[in-house]
Amino acid sequence: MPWYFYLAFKQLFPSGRILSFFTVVSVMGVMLGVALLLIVQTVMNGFSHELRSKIVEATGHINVVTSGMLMDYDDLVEELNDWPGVRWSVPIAQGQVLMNFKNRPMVPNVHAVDVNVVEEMEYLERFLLMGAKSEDLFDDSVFISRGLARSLDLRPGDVVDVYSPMLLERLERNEIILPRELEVAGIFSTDWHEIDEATIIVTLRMMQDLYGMGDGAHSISLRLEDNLDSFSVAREMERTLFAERDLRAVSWQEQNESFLWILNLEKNVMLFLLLFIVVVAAFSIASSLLINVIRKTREIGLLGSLGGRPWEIGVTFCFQGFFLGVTGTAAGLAMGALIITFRNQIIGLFARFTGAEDSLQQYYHFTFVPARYEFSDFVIIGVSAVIISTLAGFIPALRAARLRPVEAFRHG
Amino acid sequence: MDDLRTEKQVVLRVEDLRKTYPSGEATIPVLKGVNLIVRGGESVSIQGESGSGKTTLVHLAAGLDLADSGAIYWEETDITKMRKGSLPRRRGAFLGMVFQSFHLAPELTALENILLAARLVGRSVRTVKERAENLLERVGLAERGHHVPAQLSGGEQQRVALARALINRPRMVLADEPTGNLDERTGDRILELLLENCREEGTSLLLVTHNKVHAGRTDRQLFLHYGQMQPEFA
Repeated sequence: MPWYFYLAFKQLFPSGRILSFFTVVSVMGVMLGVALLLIVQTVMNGFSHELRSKIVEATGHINVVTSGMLMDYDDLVEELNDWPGVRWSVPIAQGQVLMNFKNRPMVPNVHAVDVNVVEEMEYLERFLLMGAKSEDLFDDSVFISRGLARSLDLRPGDVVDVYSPMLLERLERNEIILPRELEVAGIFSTDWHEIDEATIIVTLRMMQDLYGMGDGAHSISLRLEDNLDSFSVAREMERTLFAERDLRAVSWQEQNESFLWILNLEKNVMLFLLLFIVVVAAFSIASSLLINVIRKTREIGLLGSLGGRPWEIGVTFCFQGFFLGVTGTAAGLAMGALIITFRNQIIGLFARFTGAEDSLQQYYHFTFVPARYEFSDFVIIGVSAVIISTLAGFIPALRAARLRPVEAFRHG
Repeated sequence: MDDLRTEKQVVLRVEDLRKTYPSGEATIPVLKGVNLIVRGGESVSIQGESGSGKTTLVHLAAGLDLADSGAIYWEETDITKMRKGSLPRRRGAFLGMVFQSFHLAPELTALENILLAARLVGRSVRTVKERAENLLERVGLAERGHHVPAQLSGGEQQRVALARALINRPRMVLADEPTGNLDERTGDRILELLLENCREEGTSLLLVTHNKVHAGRTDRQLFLHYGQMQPEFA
């Protein structure tokens, strides 16, 4: 081993001592920074992945839309069902209605599905609470989201009055209008706040009636096989299937472009901000190494007088920054991975101690912390931490390398 | 063994060496045309008042500082004309240096400190470990090889520094007041070791000292007075 690596190791792990305080503190600084970065990034990935899954679960992978209303769509649905990778497609309609229960009005979003598409109804059932069945949805019934049910104190069996904007137009013409009375057939929860807050699900036939749509639908929602890239499938459909038609395939990523952009931005901003923790740790390494260089001025002079070249003396200190960075990063990644593995037990323990178990479920709607490892995070965090730590060793190294032996003896 | 090395070959030759130091806008001449020759196996002492330029002469002779003018020869090589990058390695192999303040690396044991000097000139530890242990034995520290400097007395540390200076079998040892921080008895022991090495290995010795008794034990005694070498009085 070249002498400069040997001496760097010896300065980090001096003979006759089990551990060097400087080494331990420096490694711990980088370790904590890296661990925190990894934990935050992985949990944010988890939340982001959960949210993306919820979006897909609630809205489908692709929506086929036209400039107006989709009429006579049966052939199109068949074509789409035959498209490679499409599990099923279902005509849907969406809008808003005025809902009234015991003189408490609300304006929820309404989502209408074709109850004849068995796959979609089976899929819907996973969101229903308290044992409700998807087959309970008829033209005169409605599924209510959990948030809405809580706001209006609704229970299955209650009857709500529903007014559509079309009915309001008739009201303007001084016609007497009667609301549609719909019975609550079930309460659902998707765990996606935007939907759970105020949404009702009705049959497509009821929606067509409420909105005066005739036999039309607003769009056709497609569900794809797992692991298919919705965006690519949508582009391929537009290029071939819809080439000559007034139809567009909009992937879920395009539908939620702004939201996904914010999610991504949030993650990158967090990475950028938390990277400063590693920078702070690196400053502590730089400061300690610089103090070391000043303290060891005479020794550095001696190394020069015994045959050490300036660049070799510089490497001795720069390598220490690199080594501390690599060790701290490795320990930080391991510590981060360990905490992420046991995150739910840790949160559970914390919640039990603080009595916040119920609050977690009630307000955050989760009983576990989602996490998702991404290889790129490990690489970005690891490489950044090592580069920053090595740079921290560079300034002291430069000072040591520039120190002439005779000056070191004179001023040391 | 090294009788051949101790032939009267010139190991160090200093010719008309001049050095000034800046002091504000003025310059202070420290060495004013110093000439010096040290031959193989010879021990030479330099005495002088504080500020007479003794340490500057040692630093220049070791190639640690640049002279204003003059030439310094290590055997046949003029080190003032040597490439800057190759000088440190050559110095490590050609010279052994002992300082007043020992300068041992605190994180290394005595043995590791000695071996470090060999590592610095690119020598494998395996080939010099036995010599390092022999040197430790010769300086009376065979049992203290695994002790760090903090566990050694001043005299012991200087003996380790001496062993470190000798590990690469240098042609010459430059000793800048090696006994300055030691009590008389320990100082005598260090000087004895330096002279013993001259006799046994044929290494030349250039000793800078304030101690007249120590100077008197070298082959030649020189006196540096305000930057000029005075006639020899031994």
